[in-house]
Amino acid sequence: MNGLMQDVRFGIRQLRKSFGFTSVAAFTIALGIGANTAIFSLVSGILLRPLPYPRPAELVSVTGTYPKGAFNAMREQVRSMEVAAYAEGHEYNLTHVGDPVRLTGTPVSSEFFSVLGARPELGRTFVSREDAPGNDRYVILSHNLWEQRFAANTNVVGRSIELEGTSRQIIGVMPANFQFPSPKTEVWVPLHNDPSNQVEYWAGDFMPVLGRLRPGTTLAQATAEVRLFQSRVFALFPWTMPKAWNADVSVVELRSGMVGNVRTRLLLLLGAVGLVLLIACANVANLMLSRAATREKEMGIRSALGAAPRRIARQLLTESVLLALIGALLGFALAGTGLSALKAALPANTPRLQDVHLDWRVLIFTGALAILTGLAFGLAPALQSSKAALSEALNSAGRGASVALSRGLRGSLASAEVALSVMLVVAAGLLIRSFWALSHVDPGFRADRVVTARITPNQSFCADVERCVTFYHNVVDQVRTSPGVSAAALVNTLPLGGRVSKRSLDIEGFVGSNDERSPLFWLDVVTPDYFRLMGIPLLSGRGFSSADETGNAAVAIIAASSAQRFWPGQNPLGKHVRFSRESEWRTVVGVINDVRAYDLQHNTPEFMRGTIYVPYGPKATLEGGRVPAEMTMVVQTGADEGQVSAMLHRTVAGLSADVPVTEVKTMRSVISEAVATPASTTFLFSSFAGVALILGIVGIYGVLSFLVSKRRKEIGLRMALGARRSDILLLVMKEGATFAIVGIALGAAGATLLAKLLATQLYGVSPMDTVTYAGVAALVSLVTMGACYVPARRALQVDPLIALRND
Amino acid sequence: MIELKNLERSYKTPAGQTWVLRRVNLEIREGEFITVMGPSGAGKSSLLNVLALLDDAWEGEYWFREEAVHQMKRKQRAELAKRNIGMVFQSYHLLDDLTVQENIDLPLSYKDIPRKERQSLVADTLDRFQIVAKKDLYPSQLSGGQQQLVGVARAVIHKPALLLADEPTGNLHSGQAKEIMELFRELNQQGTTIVQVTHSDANAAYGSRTIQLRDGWMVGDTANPSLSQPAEVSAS
Repeated sequence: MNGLMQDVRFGIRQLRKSFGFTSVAAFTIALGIGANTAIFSLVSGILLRPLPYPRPAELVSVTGTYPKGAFNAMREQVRSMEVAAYAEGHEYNLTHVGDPVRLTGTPVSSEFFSVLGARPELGRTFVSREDAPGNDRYVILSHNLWEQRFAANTNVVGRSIELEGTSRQIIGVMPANFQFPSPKTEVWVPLHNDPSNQVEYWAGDFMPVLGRLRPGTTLAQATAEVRLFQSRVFALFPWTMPKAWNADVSVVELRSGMVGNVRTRLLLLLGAVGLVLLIACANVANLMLSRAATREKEMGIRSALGAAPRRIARQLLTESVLLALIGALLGFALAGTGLSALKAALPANTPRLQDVHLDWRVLIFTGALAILTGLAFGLAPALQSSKAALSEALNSAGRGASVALSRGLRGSLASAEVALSVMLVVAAGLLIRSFWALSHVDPGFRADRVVTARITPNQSFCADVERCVTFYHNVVDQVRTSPGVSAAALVNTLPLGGRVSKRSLDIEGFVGSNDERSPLFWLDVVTPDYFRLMGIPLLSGRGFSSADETGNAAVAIIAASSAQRFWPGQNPLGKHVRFSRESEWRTVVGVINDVRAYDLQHNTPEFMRGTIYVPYGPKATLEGGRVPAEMTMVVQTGADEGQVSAMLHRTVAGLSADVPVTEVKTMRSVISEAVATPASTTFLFSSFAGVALILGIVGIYGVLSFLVSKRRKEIGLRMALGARRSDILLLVMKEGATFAIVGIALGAAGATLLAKLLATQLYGVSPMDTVTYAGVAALVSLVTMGACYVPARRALQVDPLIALRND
Repeated sequence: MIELKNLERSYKTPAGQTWVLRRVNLEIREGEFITVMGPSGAGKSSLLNVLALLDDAWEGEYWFREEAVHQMKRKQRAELAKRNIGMVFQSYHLLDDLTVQENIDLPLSYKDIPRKERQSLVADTLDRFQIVAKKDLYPSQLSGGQQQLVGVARAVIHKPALLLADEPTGNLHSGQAKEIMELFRELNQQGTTIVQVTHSDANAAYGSRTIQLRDGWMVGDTANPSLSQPAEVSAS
């Protein structure tokens, strides 16, 4: 212990003495540890931290989704766990509490809060059977909404508010830290379990199911029971369900169920920063080797005075760990800033982002990482020095061997740095090419000079179809004639807007399997100017006219790929489709270009078979037979969002005071949001790859500089023996090139493995894309040769006279 | 072969200009074996470096076989040296990472000589110096005398007209020193002009002419008995 303290004291003195070395090494380590700490904070907060509910290990989620009817059956039949369901993507107008506002709400089954074990801040949560019709006019507020709209009034419980035109009694307020299923949730309302509405009950929301395992039950038992239930539930449906529906259902921890595919991305990023840290370690190890070379005499004396190699190694390792701890302190400070930047760079819908902080877990991680890092970069120089010192003490002839060993070690470290850099740069290159491909996908529409806004009257407002249709026609007419507006139109689901609209269709002449007799379509309800305004080309037939909106002539326009799928080689014009369980056939009057509506890679989700457009009007009904209440206005204008927002609010308020106008944004920003996830992954990977490349270049530069300084005598001698400048330049560059080529070859091999892991994140580029690999190899060759050129130039300055005299 | 006229060499130091060679006038004829002697700091090695064209920063005239070296550019001087001069060092200056064979090949590798021809020359040299058995050994595996033997072999492999040797036996015991000096005599008899720097009278005895240097001045030359130390030496 005394010896260790002595080592620590001496180590501190040594580090203070070499302030320059300490600063450079500590900053390098700080970069590596800082990046790791910041990414680990995300991993800790999102993947590792237990959910903030009682006995979180019992909380599970079922991987499938179920409509109300199937969920109610599960609730009655499944014994291994208590289950609850919640529906996503619901919104409610809150009126008569200040300006009308659109709230994000979550309909939940009555046991939702009790399963989670969540307690309210005020009032109570739902109790059994409060999700049954006639017994469900309740609402629970989020803490934020309670503060913002109700001034944190503690007497709010018991008061009634109008949500979506329906009066609901506030029964509770949840605490600020309750943000399930999403931080965006502002109200929770009971699920409306009404078996009499067959379509809504069996085909409405397909809901995620969560559960709490009963004591002594395992995930495997719960999975087995849910699979058994799944095999029986098909029989309950009033129609045939596709066999593929929930085919591989299982029960997983709720925590992992919540994070979904974010896990892969986070682990990839953690891997990337891990590589950056390795490069930083190799860099500092090289610095330490250079420093150890200048301390050979000190080590020789220590050895001659009786220090065992192990004792010398311990001394140097103590210094390394001290250095790493200094780097870790700096890194922890950097991580604080980095984490804020990371949280800003990640898409806002990243789950549990609010749980991400620098906390004690992260502190322990950083401390452990610092010690490991110190040992990692200190081990090679420590072993090297202890060996060198011993041989120095025994005979001077050993020096040649130790220098050769050091050169080999340094070369290996430099090659390893280049290899790790190549891996990261290839990964970044693939992501950049993928992002480039994604950004240059033709979405099928034109986004220039288009501003969009959601207009969302209550469902009850649109229950009066004529009132609803008239309202929207008036909105379009007034907006179209507003100053600065060249065109205006409506669509129920904006392309890339993150919402989906679906209907099952019967298709003339199409006889599918049982599973696909009435394939599911993306249903777009649009006003006549929509195609022209959005620049969606009509491929054949005609667009919609004002006359079509009356619904007297039932018409539809079909997307080109859908027409090809269902009527291959035939003219789709004049063919007929109809909404399932409706009698009236619609005539296809036009074929329109495909539009990437779901995301930039897909026109529709996988479970949909096509896209159909119908004109907005009384017959443009969604599932449940109602006309869409929520529509998105698209405006072609040179005005900015602020001006359009003010104009729309004025216009809509003039027609109906209770209708909110929300999400006013340009179509360009809608597209940007659609690529936010790949953009953030690409940005982060590229940043880490950039840091890795810089560290790698510095590494190879440092090694060559050291080797040139060690080879001054040799270079001088070669010059004395007739070597030309080009010979010397070639000699040094060749050595650097050897490190680089070995590194690039190893890195490319490693990159193929990394790229396989990345495959799910790539679009339009193969994980084995030769252009990327060749480009990265060329880039890294170029920059490493640049890094080699400086020491090589320095080698040319060697004066043979001085070099030989310094013998 | 070589004629130096009023050759001077100095260094700038914080204390001012330090002269290491002063007004050296020297003629070296083909086939001579010259020994340069003098106390430490007299300028012996500096003179050798100038002759070897390793040093550029001198003033005066340097003629090599009627060619005005002092008017040549650095590259031309390097080319001249590469063709005509070989060097032997006191501390051998062999490259640790190269074998005996590779060390000997080094000067040839810097000339445009075909590989086969180089291999043949190296083989001849190894044979001539009787070190064939040692060709794959590294310098650290050789004795001092053997290392210097390799040093000499390397210096003469390209058949230089002029061989310069800076204390070639300084690190060797007398037996090894004698072997090396016998070798020099043999090379000289075969036509190589040799200039050696040494402190040893025994080594000097192998030469045909001795030059004495003091504080940069040439103060004695057995070929020119009239040469004497100038008066300003004491002031320099």
